[in-house]
Amino acid sequence: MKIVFVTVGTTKFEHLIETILSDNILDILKEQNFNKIILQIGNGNHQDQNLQNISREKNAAVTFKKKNLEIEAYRYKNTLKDDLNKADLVISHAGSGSIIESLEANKKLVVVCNQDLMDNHQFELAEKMAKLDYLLYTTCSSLHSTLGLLKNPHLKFKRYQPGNPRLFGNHLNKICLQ
Amino acid sequence: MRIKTAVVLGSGGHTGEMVKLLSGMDLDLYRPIEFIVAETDNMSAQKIEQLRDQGKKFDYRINLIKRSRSVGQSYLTSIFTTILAIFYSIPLIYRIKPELLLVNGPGTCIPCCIITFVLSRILFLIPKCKIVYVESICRVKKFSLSGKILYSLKIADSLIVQWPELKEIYPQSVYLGQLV
Repeated sequence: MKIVFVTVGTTKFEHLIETILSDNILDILKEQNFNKIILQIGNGNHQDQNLQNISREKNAAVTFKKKNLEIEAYRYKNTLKDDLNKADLVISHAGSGSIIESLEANKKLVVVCNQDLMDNHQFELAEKMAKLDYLLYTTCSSLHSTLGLLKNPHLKFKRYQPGNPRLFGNHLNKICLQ
Repeated sequence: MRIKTAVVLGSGGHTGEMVKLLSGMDLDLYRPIEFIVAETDNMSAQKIEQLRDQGKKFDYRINLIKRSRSVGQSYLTSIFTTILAIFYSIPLIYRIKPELLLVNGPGTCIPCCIITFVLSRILFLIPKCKIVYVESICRVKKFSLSGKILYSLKIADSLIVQWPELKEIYPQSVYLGQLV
């Protein structure tokens, strides 16, 4: 099974979820042989009938089909690690936690910036990580063409170098113990 | 030897980053840890629990204070709520008497930093306390407002950035590499 995991983090990103469920995105995912989409929608409010009634209780999920793709949707889970590990592709909002967890799990990652958020400090991180070839970043309106780039066999992501909190611990010792 | 540590937690990403920073610290040395959390923050306590699960001995307490600025709150009203938060922070910092104050960016941290500095370095009402600020990994080219304020007040013993670009703009800051 080829799975794409879509995550919006602790708040909401309705525009992304709606974009994912739009026909042209579903078509391009099918073209690339994805069979299942897992949607973590946070506290978004959606018109879509399937999503409207999802409970805010943790782990409350619904499943439905659209254009022959299996879709599982929920708001929150205790941990996203399992769904992250199952994924062949992750499409994420630009939150640092989501970006870093996905990269640490060595997943192909497309980050979508939310243009409705005013102080878009998250955008700086997505842009930097993209420059370092760790991920692709885009917007809802350009998501279709960005997904098209994934077909290119020459597209290579660099292996992620995780951060090292021990460097911080050592520095802190120097400050506090002198 | 023990170093009593106060840690200010903010919403979402800030707490996630702080938990990672804590995981790189010797928690046998930096204890007890007094967490200072905004009343309206629900997620932080859960994330802290994750540290305990890592099997390390983890000696901590959670203290709640009023939020100085909510996400999206106008800067003008923020001045008033920040002044309010400063007054709430005074008895808390005075009671805790931290030897180290660790902060990483949320608005809640500025009043705590100012109070700690005033109480320990100006009024000498509490023992000397080091103030360490770690700018978020999200800040690549520009400091956050908290970072700018602390940098210009010059009250932090160490102001740490996670990208070399920031170090170039703020030469008094410390760059160690990516920490989270």
